[in-house]
Amino acid sequence: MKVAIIVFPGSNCDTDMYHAFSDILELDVDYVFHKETNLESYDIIVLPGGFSYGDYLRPGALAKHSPIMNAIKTSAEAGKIILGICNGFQILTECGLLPGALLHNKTTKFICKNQILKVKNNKTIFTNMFFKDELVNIPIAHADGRYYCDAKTLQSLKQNNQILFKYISNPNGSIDDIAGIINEKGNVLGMMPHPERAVELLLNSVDGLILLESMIKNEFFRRRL
Amino acid sequence: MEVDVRIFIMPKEEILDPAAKAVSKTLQNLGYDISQVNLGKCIDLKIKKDEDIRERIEEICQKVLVNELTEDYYYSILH
Repeated sequence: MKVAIIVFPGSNCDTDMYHAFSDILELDVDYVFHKETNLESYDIIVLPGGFSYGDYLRPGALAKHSPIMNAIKTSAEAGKIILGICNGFQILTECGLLPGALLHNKTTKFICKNQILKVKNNKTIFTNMFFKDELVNIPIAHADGRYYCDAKTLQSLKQNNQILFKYISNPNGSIDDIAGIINEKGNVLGMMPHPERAVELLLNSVDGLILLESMIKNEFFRRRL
Repeated sequence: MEVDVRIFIMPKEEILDPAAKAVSKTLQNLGYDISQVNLGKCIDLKIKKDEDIRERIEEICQKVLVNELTEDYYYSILH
């Protein structure tokens, strides 16, 4: 099982993500530079947090035109697991793999602190090791994390159970307290909280590790079928 | 021949813009009779002028410069 961590100019959570997948989960992990065009040899593709292209224009707006993006779209269509954290989530909404957009926090502040999230759907690739409605502790660190979508999209997100995580105490003004969503097919997750920052007791929480392990367990069983 | 194009990008009205709200509040605190502030972006381009110029500007806006879910845009071609 191979993991690709996409590195855009300005990504800054790539090494944390590498540490989680490589040192803790002991998987085969590669950094893949955004100028690459092929992801065929990877099973899990991660778009890490950071400030790709300095967040110029809009967060994720320039990264979505990077050469690697065609391979990410092809991988998503092929059903591979795609995980976008923070800036990765912003890129996934900008390129249309996930609906909606992420706007500046309601408070106008950059917020970096632990968040209690509720697991709204535990029957997915990403959450199968959580309990339904379990409360988990995963930190956020963003200035542009206010999830927004139109009323029709919100309704379909709810109907299809695409909302995986909600904030218990909404920090940024996200619509319907949304912290993370999946696509309709269920193989692409975007979330503002950082699971890679909650993978060892030293970091005060291992709830992020449960998410990463859910993905791996799922991929492991898929391969056995 | 190249022409200058000026593109204005504004957040959609129904979307809360905390930056505009902060500016508005400051102006009101200074005693100015302001009921609303809209903050947007202004982008200048130099672009080749031909018969498809409007089509290309629209394409550039929709593909890169504007997120039509949250923003509106308009532009003028400056001669």
